[in-house]
Amino acid sequence: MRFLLQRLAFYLFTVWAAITINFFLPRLIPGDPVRSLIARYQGQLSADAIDSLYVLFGLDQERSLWGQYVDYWAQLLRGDLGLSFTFFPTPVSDVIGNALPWTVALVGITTLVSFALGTGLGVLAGWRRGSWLDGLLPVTTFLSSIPYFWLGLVAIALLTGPGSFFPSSGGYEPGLVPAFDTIFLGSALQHSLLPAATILVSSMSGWVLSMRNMMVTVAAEDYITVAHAKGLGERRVALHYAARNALLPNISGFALSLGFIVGGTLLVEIVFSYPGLGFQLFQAVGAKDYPLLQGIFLIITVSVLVANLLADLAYLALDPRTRKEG
Amino acid sequence: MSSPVLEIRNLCVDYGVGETAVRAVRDVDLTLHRGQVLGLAGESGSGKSTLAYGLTRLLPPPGVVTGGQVIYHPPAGAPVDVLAMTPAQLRRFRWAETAVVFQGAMNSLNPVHRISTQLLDVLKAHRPTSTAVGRRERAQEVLRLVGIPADRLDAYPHQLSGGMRQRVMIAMALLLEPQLVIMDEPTTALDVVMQRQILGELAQLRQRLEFAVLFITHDLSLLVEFSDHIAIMYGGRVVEQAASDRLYQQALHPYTEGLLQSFPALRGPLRTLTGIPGSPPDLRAMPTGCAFHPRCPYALDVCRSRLPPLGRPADSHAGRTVACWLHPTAEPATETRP
Repeated sequence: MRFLLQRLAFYLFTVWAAITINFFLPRLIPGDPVRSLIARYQGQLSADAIDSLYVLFGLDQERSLWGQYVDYWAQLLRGDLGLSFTFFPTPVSDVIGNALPWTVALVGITTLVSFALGTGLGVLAGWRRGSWLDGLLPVTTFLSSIPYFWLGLVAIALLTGPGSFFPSSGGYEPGLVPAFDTIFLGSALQHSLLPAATILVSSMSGWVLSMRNMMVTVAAEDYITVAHAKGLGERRVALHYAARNALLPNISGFALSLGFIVGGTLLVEIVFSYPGLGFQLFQAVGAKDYPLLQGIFLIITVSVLVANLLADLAYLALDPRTRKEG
Repeated sequence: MSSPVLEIRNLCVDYGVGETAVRAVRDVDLTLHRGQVLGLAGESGSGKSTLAYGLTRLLPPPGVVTGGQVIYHPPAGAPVDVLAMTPAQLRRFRWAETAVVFQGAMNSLNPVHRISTQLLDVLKAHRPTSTAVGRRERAQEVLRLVGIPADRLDAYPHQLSGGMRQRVMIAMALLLEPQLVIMDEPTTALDVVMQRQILGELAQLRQRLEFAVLFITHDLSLLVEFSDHIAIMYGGRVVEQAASDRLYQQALHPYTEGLLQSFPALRGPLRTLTGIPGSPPDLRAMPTGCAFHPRCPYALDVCRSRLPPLGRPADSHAGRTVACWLHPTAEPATETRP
């Protein structure tokens, strides 16, 4: 319990540090949001409009940096992340709220599936070392070294086009209204197949490789020999003795990848113009949309931290050696 | 008392196959009698552990048993060849008839499961009809046998000391009341005090439960005390075998003599420890003739060219065998011990 509280304190501190950095970074950059908006509208804004923009962004009053910092926190706690420039005057929280489900659904599901499948295959390949399954290894090494986006480009070039079942971009059929009905969900599923397959193919190989190597290492441990000598069934030795121990190092890797779900696989979303957070981030960078960037970074930071906390919890549950007392 | 429980006949074990194969165990014949302790001693690389892994079929690749038989005599029923068992037969045979206590006291227990899980799954696998309560009672019983309080049953391995872990392994070996317990340097990872304590307890347990022990160690002094018979291995072969007191009083093979002079006697006149010059043979390029001749102070011409057979020496008592040209055999022996 003490261990957990310590970790929790550490994470709270990290969140505070991340938010503080998030606050100061844009203020270190020369210029202000109104000027970038003016540049955006190329002088079509009247003096009144500019004034009201300054009021809107709260830049009219001379506030100290400390005062701004306090205001920023107050805003954050209300869930207010400011207004987006690109989608002005939509609040950043709405923009993120629209993009987040797409990314979480696409990358989240593929990450889970890829971890489960990859680990399973790795256990099998590691346990049956020397069988035909070893033939998979060069293939997985090759696949894991391919960048996602390249695979995505190849998939688009080969599989999409007029008359093809696979759409080349977007998250759903243009013209459909997002709703929870079969037509929309079917269309969303159809659009997610290629990006999902792309992520799956190139991320799964990494799990296969690392799990297989851990299995081979663990299989040489004394307790595996003992388990064999005890006359236990092959399956019990493989799963409860070998795989159970081989899984431990992979857990932290999995937690990290959970944290990056929210960040999205940026390049895949760009290649497929998928309406997720990664694509949004790309657009925000292109448009110098600082409030949106800040908001997305905040979400990514928090989710990475939450994933790490989950990894700590998983470790506590899976490895008794990390539980200090008891 | 002299009925055999395990007979090893012409056992050969290789590492690797084909041209590059290295023969680690060569034509070993050993007989283990019911309720007795057979000590197996030799330097590192002499093939003693390989022999133990080979006869239990636990040898990890690239080790291959290339020949011979391992005949197990059950208390009731016909003898069986362990090497010819099907996987299912082998699973039933393991632990129920021969249990093993391994070298690494620290790593023999699965770190992520409780002691209880690891004791109970043996019972569950071998006695599927037993009840959960019965299994737990049996596990507590064997823990008490080795002097561990029954409430430690639900501890994790990392919560136990090295000595306790090795006791747990011994308790685990006794779970199914096997006829034979193979101990591969069971106390090497422990300090000498703990070593002594555990060996003392083992000797008592063995008298009470009457299982036979194949005790493997490089520490001949330990064997002299603990075992009934001793076999000395060198370069993958058994070079001498005798009752332990006789071997200690009068070693016939120069290698045994060398081993005996590598540790001090507690009583009797002081003598200089000499040890054995040189190093163990390279298994890839074994010397011709007797494998020990390059290190042997008494080497004759014949030692360089011809391999001495293992047999009863003409110039000594019955009941022991040696493979040395200094003590030519009375008759080519087929049985290693009468």
